Amino acid sequence: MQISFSRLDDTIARFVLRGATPAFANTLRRTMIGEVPTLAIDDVFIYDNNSALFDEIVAHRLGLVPLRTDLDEYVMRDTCSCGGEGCSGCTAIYTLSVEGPKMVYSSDLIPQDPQAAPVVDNIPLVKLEKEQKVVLEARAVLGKGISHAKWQPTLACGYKEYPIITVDKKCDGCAMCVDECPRGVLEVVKDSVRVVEGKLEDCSLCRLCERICKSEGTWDEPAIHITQDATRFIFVVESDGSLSVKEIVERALREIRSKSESLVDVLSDISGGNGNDEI
Amino acid sequence: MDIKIIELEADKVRISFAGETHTYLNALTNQMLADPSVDVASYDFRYTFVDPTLLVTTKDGTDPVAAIIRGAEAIAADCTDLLAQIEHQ
Repeated sequence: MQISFSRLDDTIARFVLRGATPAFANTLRRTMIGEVPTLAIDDVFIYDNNSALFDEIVAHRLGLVPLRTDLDEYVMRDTCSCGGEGCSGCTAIYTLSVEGPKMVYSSDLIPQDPQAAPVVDNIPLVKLEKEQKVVLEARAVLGKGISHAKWQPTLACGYKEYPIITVDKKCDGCAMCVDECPRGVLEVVKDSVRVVEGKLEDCSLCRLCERICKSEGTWDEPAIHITQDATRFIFVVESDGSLSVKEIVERALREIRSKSESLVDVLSDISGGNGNDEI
Repeated sequence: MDIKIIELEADKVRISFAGETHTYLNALTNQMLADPSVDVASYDFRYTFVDPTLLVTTKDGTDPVAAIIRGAEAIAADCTDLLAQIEHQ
């Protein structure tokens, strides 16, 4: 199995996974979305709120604010040495104290740990009129997207099979498929259609080129064929900024590996002992 | 991993995986089906919110538990390989 990145920024990555099965590609995608932990506000203590929004709506909005997460600093609350009571090792605390008239933004959340500040400052939370105020304390903990979407570290996270475009010799270069392609993948060179250099991965597999060739041409089968390679996958992963994309991919792979190793350990114990024992 | 063996015979094992979903079990069963000694490798959720049950049967007297171990080891090796490649990019 091979992985090669064509783009790797802090918030977006594009890579090709070669020699994989669709099952493994889907496991990687689902793990990145649902099983890589990130910080999100989970408990809110509201001391004062006479804004137009109910306490529950304010708390819900706070929960959806992406927070910068250092996974080496924080551990999941249920595995923390504090026994789940909440300590600096598993909980990030924020305070919010604002008085109207004012639009309250995520930048008004004051983090106790500056490393766990909101990712962006301009997320609107609530609009306050004159003499309205909100005073609260919020606590963020690590969680996984499988429990609630607020703990998903990814925005867009998906893959497609690698496109394979073949053009038959009967192609007369009429260029109708070139005009039809919404991604500009095709071009006409010397009375025949070919893929523009470096644009093959942009093909969305929509098959509009096949359809126009079949309907407008004089033949029963189109001169251009779009197929997919089921062992190569083009991934696009976007982060919400809480973790870098590279960390998301690495953490997901480590999660899959740790599950496999844990299963091997448990089953090895059984094969060595009495196989009918319950674990 | 929290598992419970429900049924174990020479060529058949049925295991319940607490807290697991399609995410891992789909990759595991797919990996095991690439093993020629594995006859059936499938999992199902009896009801929506219950733990999935993995069923593995084997041919030629192969130990089904050993087949699962081989499948899990292959997935772990793939992950290690990919992590090493990412490290160098």
